[in-house]
Amino acid sequence: MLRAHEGRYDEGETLFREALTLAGAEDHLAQFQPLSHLAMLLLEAGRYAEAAEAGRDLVELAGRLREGSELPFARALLAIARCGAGDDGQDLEVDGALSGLRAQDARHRLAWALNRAAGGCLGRGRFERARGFALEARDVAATLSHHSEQVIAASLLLRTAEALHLGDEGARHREDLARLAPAASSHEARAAAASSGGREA
Amino acid sequence: MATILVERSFAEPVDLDALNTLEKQFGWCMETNGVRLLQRFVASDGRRMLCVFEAPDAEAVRRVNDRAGLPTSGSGAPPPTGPAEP
Repeated sequence: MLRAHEGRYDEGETLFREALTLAGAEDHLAQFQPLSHLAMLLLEAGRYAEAAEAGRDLVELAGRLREGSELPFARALLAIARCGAGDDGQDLEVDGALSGLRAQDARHRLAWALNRAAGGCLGRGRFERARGFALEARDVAATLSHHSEQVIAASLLLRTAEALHLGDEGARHREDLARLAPAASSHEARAAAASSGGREA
Repeated sequence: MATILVERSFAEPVDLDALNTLEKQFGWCMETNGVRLLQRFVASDGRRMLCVFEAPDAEAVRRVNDRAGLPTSGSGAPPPTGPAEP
């Protein structure tokens, strides 16, 4: 996780795959941890087809676990990966999975999924939908004091405001980004801040 | 922070000393996940318990439960009477 956090995705991937091999075949929760982090890493690295493949395994695994946020998280990840891979028919699946995460009060996973859903929408020119996801991600991340996700959300909001020609709103997000960026520790958040003109931590 | 209610059911009346020891043993896990036990209510038959936690979200309490192997029969979102978000 530290390697992935630092942006050393290749090393992180190797370690997650090793951890998955070492997890007992019957211990589904122990398998879920490395597989979910592997799928998240692949998605963050923009390797959508591989992330979707891992997401399919994750959904199957999550279906065997006790009730919790694992299944909606796995479904969200799979749907977002499929969107990234070019499938635009995933809106209902994304929305349903995000509702499941809200219902389970899994805010770390919700903030992460919202930001990646927002990033995917932004990349395909669906700016209003991206803005809605990023606004919620920003608020959820703020309740957790999760600085890296706050920075990613602020960066997405700034880019969305620019695309929608929302000058005043864009200025506010730029201020937020400048204020939050020094506290961001993940490679992804620092890169997001830098690409949006915020200070890199 | 949110207020999380967890209901526990036990096949046999719970041994409170053993439970206290387990909670101390997993104190590091609670701290890592930002979870704090506020109150515990035990039914007179010792088979049911309500725990009130302060935590970032319900998921954090679930992680601690999973790690400690504690029985959980219900875990919900913050109750309407819980403290407001900061």
